[in-house]
Amino acid sequence: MSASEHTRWEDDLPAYALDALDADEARAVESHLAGCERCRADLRWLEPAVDVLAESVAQVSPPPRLRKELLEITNHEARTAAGAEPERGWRNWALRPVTALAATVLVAAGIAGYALRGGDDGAEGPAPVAFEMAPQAKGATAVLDRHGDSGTLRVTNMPRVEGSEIYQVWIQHGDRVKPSSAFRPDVTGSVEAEIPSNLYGADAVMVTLEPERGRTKPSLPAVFESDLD
Amino acid sequence: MAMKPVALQRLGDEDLMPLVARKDPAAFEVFYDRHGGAAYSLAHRIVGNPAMAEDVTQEVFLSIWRSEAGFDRTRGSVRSWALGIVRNRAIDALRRESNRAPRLDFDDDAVLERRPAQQRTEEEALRRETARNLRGALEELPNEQSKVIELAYYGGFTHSEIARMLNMPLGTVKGRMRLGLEKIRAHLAEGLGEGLVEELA
Repeated sequence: MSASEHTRWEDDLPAYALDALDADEARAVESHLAGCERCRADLRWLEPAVDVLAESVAQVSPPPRLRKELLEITNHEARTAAGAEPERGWRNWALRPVTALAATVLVAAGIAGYALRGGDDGAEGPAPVAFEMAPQAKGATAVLDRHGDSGTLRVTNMPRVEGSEIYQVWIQHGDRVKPSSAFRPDVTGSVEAEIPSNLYGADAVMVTLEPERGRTKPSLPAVFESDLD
Repeated sequence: MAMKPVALQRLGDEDLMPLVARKDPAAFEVFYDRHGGAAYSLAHRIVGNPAMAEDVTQEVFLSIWRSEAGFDRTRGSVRSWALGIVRNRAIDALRRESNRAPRLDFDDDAVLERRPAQQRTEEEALRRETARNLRGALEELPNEQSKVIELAYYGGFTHSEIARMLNMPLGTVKGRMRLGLEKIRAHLAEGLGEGLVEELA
């Protein structure tokens, strides 16, 4: 390899270390690294500088509930993996009402249905959870298929959205509601929206119509109150 | 037989990870307590939103627990590996937001000052001190170098995107990335002592 060719790779290594190359460029660098000890050594030298970027940010403590939720999930999964029965109280855990949210919910579903099926009749695997629809969404249907912590929300006949409006999925844990995915139905009012995580231990999944993407709290006036009992 | 929590605390990260992979929740708890704060802080810095930072951190730790992201001890320390996953997931979360914008005006010190003192634990105080020392390495960089590095690492932009954004040749962006990283690296080796360099390496 000529010196100028080698310089080309050396020029790309800092961007590679910073994950700032396009996928094709990154693959090319990786192929080169496999056969070039000089570049591997250069990369090893640069990497602690990149680690500084991760470690030098303002240190803030995560909320204690994050630790609590993670340990609940991991303990539950460890017991399940070991073939133990789910602990008692799991049903109550999943059955908190959503009255605090009534003012903002357009469409709501009790995710408790999954927990009840799993806990009471011993059915294998997750069963779809049906949604109750608000008057504004009369005629629409929505079903959530759970796959562990994630799921797929299938809706049909949803009212159209205008401009930047978007349907936002929210997941409720106790008195806390977090945004999940957002979707716009196709011309027939249908869509399949993936919910990538956070369904473990959730009390409810809700959908609201929001004026735009990116809201961190549900923002629409009262239209529906769900009943999970 | 499962190890007792005190024994787990004594294990190094590399010995802890096989236990986490074998679904030992006590080992996971130790792992989270060691790295959860740094992970959440990095996610918070990138996404700029506590709720989203919490989601990203939860997603990362669950993916580690479920062994979706296997630790490869040839690729640096457990902490670097975990924080690398946090960085990537946080950038993914940022990209899902439609109105994504680079956060170059972030004031790390201001974030700390806004928090009540009683929320700062002793362990956090140590992390803060280390972070502040490391931040010194970044702050010494000329603005033109720190900007391209921050856009790449915290903003998730590629070098081509940065070149377009700042209206400068790609070669200039690459050159500034190298100069900046080399200066941070030199600062690590000289100013902060080899202990930290080893910890980060």
